[in-house]
Amino acid sequence: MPPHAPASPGKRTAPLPDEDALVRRAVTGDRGAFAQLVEHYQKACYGLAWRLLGDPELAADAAQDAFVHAYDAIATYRGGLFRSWILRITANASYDILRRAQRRPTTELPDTEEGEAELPDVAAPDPLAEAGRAELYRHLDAALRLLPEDQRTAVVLCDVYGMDYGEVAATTASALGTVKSRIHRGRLRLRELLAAHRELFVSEVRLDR
Amino acid sequence: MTMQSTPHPDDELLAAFAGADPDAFDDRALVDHLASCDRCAGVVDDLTSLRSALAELPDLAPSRPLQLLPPVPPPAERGAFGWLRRLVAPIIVTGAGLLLVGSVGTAGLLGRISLFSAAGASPGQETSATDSAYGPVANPAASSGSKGTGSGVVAVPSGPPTDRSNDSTGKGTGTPPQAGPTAPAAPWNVLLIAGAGLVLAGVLLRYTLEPRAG
Repeated sequence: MPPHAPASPGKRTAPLPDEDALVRRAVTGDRGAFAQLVEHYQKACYGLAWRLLGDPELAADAAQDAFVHAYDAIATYRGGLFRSWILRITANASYDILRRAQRRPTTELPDTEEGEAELPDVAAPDPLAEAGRAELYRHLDAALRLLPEDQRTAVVLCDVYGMDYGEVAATTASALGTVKSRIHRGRLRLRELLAAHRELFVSEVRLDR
Repeated sequence: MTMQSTPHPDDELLAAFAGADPDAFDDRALVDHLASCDRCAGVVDDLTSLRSALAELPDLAPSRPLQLLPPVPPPAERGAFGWLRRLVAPIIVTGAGLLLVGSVGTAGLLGRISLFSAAGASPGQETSATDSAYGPVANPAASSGSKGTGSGVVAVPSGPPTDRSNDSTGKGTGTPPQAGPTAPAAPWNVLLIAGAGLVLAGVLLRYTLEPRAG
């Protein structure tokens, strides 16, 4: 098995080395600093939007909306991880689009049964390296798409992007108890859906515990 | 080995436990059950592994290039001269309005139709005629009828003859001849010049404050 390639696409964006300074400059109106931050996190934002919306174009729209909202709100930024902040904004923008799409029957979201058909080509640039992880990600994303929308949203926000119950509840305008239940049922459903590929995630993680 | 005496907890509780939910962690009965139930411990293990895998799902490259910054008005708009720039349009519009009104008025004066024509046409004539002209000034019907045909004709409908003879003989002979041909034109000319000035100022402002447009 080849070692983990640092530049592999199958990775999450790490914070910038000079992120705090950039954020401070962006807060005081430095457009260049803001652009640098957004450019750095645009894959994170797009990934979240794609997992919530399941459609490349809608996801790009959501990420784009999020950047505009972030620009408008950057002056009121109150510390914390910039990644978490801009992901929260992206989640809200995605959820707005989700709601709008559901109100307009003509522009329905892609059928979740299509499942794996439109999955992003995570491993394309380096198909040999980390093939196992790439396959795991592919199966995970496919399974997420098969979840009912409310469960998928809750699981994506909580388990994929690390939001707590309260943040998920605020984003989805739902009660805390409802959110917990959606997350728990979503996890159980994912386990069922991935039962055939259990070895992909169970064996490896068990070594960690 | 699974103990048959205690029933399995709800699977949602297991999912909560796998997510490190504090309530589930504090559930003594659940913790005890997990310690003795392979089936439920296995579910928790699966879900915990699943969560770890979900938490490392990679970021994704956007399907199309995204604009990192929203388009904003040019910096000059928000700079020190922003307030001046915002004045440009109103200045030009006001100027154009004045120019229009001024031109119409001036053109009217130069031509034969004018609200002031009766006064201007016969400054030095007999008092009754000049006097009568001051009646029609406020009377639009009379002004249209006064084009060059003679002020005496116009004077007739304006008032009874008795009024004319007694009334403002001194005023009629005094002021109108002085104001004569130039005074009525002045307001229109002033408007015309002011309008032209404002338009010019507006256009100049626009191009001085926005160097990139040039």
